[in-house]
Amino acid sequence: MGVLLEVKNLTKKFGGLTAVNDFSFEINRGEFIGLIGPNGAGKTTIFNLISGMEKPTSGSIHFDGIDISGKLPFRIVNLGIARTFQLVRSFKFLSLLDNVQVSCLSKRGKAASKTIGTEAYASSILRSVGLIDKASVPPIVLPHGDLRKLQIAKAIGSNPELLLLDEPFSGLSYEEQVGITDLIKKLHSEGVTIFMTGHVLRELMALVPRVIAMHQGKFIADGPPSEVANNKIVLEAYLGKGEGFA
Amino acid sequence: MFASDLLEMLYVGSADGAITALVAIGFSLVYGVGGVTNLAHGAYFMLAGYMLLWILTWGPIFSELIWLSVVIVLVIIAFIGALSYLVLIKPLQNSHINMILITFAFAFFLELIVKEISGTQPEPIDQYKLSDIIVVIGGVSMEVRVLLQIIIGLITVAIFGLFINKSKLGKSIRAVSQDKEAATLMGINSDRILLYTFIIASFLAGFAAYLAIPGANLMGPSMGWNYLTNSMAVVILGGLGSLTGSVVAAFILNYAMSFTLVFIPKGEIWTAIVPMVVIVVMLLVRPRGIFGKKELK
Amino acid sequence: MEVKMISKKSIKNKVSGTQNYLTTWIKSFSGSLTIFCLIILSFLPFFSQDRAYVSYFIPQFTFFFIYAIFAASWDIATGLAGQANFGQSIFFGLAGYIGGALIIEMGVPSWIAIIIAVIGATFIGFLVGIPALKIKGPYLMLVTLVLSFIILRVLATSHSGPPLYGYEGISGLPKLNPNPIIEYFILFISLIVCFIIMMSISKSKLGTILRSIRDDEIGSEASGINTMKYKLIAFMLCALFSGLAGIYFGLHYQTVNPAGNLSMTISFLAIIMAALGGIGTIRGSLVGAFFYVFLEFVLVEIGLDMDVVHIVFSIILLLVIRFASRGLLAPLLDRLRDLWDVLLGR
Ligand SMILES: Nc1ncnc2c1ncn2[C@@H]1O[C@H](COP(=O)(O)OP(=O)(O)OP(=O)(O)O)[C@@H](O)[C@H]1O
Ligand SMILES: [Mg+2]
Repeated sequence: MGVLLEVKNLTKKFGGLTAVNDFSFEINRGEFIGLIGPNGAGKTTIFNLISGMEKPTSGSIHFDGIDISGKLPFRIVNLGIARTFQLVRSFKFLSLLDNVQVSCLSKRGKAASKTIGTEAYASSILRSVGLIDKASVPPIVLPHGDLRKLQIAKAIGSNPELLLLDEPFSGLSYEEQVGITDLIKKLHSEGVTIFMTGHVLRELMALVPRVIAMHQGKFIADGPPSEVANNKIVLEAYLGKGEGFA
Repeated sequence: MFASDLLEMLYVGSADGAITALVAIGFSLVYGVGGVTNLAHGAYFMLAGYMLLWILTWGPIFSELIWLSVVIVLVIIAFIGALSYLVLIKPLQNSHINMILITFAFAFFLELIVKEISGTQPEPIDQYKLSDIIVVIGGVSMEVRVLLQIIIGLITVAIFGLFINKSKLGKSIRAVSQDKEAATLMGINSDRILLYTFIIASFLAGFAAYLAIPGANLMGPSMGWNYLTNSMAVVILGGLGSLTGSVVAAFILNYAMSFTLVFIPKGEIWTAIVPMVVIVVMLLVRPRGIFGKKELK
Repeated sequence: MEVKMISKKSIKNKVSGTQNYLTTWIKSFSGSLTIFCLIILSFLPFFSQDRAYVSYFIPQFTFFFIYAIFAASWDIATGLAGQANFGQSIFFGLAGYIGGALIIEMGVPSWIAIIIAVIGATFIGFLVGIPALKIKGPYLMLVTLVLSFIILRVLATSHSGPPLYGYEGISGLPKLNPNPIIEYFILFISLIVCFIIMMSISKSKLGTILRSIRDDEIGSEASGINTMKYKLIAFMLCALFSGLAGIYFGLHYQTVNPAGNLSMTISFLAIIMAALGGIGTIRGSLVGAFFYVFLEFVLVEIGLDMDVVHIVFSIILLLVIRFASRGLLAPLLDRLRDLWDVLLGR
């Protein structure tokens, strides 16, 4: 066990808007956590801060005891934090194999694939997410569900300890959601710590044992989903936005 | 001596500033509305200048009815602006690199054509000027022509501002530049709006050439690149989508350039560096520009 | 001991792997075509003893060799790594200047001057690459373009004596070799070596990384790639090869000057040849350069002025980008390949 990620008093301002406001939490090694909040709550911003895509206005982020706040994104990946994006992104003109191979070519990915080589390592990842049949096609021809799988495949090429998944279900049909859920569960059982966002509580409820809820950049609750779902402030946040969560 | 240098710097800088502002707002408009970095934008200015030169030699009707010549040139340049969008840019809109390459190739093509017709040497247009009068202020003899450039230039920018804020077309243009999808949902045809912005932009560049060139030199077919660079510097400095920002930035840039020209040894070489330094520094320090809301991508 | 044995074995494996690769490659369409072209090019200088042939037709091929290296070098930074570079003439021209000044002012032997010029160009590539770390797309394009204008102007207005000789430039450089046929073979071999290197880069993992930066820079960074480092590498590779082309070009003409070696037309040539062949393919540059050199040859033969020739090429470039962004000749090669397969009964 032990603390893997420690976020303390994290604040991010965009001009006059405070997207993340004095936010603190801890994640233990091996946990499976959800981060929820209505649209615009600041979830993606928190991921951007952890992964180094944005620099915090104040506050600190420690990963495995190392201060990572403000470090360059690729360095953070090589320390063991990988992420996916809310909007799918891929290397348009590279084959799926090469899409995954890029992260296997990062320092950390190379170390992990030392024995078998990056190409074989990337293939094994494609096989584990069920895209090996399409290894040589470019991502443009994939249906959205496969693109979501590809996002995860790209992220695990660098052999992360902590995986940040930003709305991994968005835009997916129910069947596709089940496929991704199984994939995430498998990764977790292999020892990867998972931290994922969602703005529909229902999607996360069945999956994660612990959720953190936020609203307008502020922390509101932390605990088992059943408790958080009944938290008064959480309910207000969602109802205020006019969004159902049940 | 020093004071009169300073005055000269101010007055040359202001005139160039007003003209650069006209060129730059067109460039910025096209970028804001369509995301198109039109590397041929400076070439519109250059071509319009040369067309003025050519048309005056067509015959006495053209050299006597100046306004007619100017109108013809402006119509042609607006038409070329429209064509460059419809024929070259629109079909390539989903490939950014090809879109930029084709505007580069088009600019180069226009430059070569002009070079073939008129050669590379600077050419004076002295058949007519905005005004012949010269006044002396603070020891500096100033041409009224230059004062007119400043005044007419700023008035044109103001009219453009009114148009973009008040007219129906102007409002549609703003809607598309703020949020293309929402504008499309509201029933605005964004392709047509982009076509109009190309027409307006090339027209403004042509009008700037009309203000700038008579009485001065055409600095050779490659001068379009200078105006393009200056426009980009202005947009970056002033911030995208801010008209005031563009005007202020155009003046700052040109003061800086005429300062370099007047006060720094071998200034004529180093003026070309000023816009580049502005671009690099602004992109590094404040990519949003002084007045801008959006970051340039 | 064991380690040693394993590494020996793996080298053996690699060697036999390479052999296998070579045999299948030669049997493949592009392999056969390449071998065919190489054979023709090797014998070409000996087809005729005619003076016009040796001193006029053969040098066209030396241009082809130089331009092909030059265009492909542009393709590395722009086509592979997506770093829009319109200042290609900087590396080309300055390498010529570095080499030329060394030869004329310091009496350095040509081959040493070539090596230093290439190293110098690579360093300049590093310097130009630094702004590319922050500046993207059209802005990078413009910054590199304007930088080339400024360097041109600084050189053109420099003091008209040694070492740079102002507008006139450096002249009196020695030929690579006084015999055009030997010059031909020096450049021919350089071309082969450069393309083997550039093609292997393109096919290697480095090539994959560069393409990932081109397709999605943020995504590449999020995959743990040090994109800054690789962008600099792309610029340096680009400058290295275009510097080599530039010093060869200077030695071929025996002069380097601002207008001839540093103008925007030079950058334009690299772009048009790469675009003709197909941007991002590297080997397309071979086809593009060939097409360019021989169309230019024909156009000049029929009496067109050089400026008109450039107009023709700018129109061709417009048409290629507009209607055939894969490049003019990639589709043609596909047709040929189909024909080949039919002939072999595949
Ligand atoms: N780069 C930025 N510049 C300015 N404002 C930003 C930026 N990124 C995010 N914001 C603002 O910060 C707030 C939080 O945004 P964020 O994307 O983190 O929310 P989210 O919880 O991920 O929402 P969603 O459910 O829509 O994904 C929003 O109001 C957003 O407009
Ligand atoms: Mg989000």
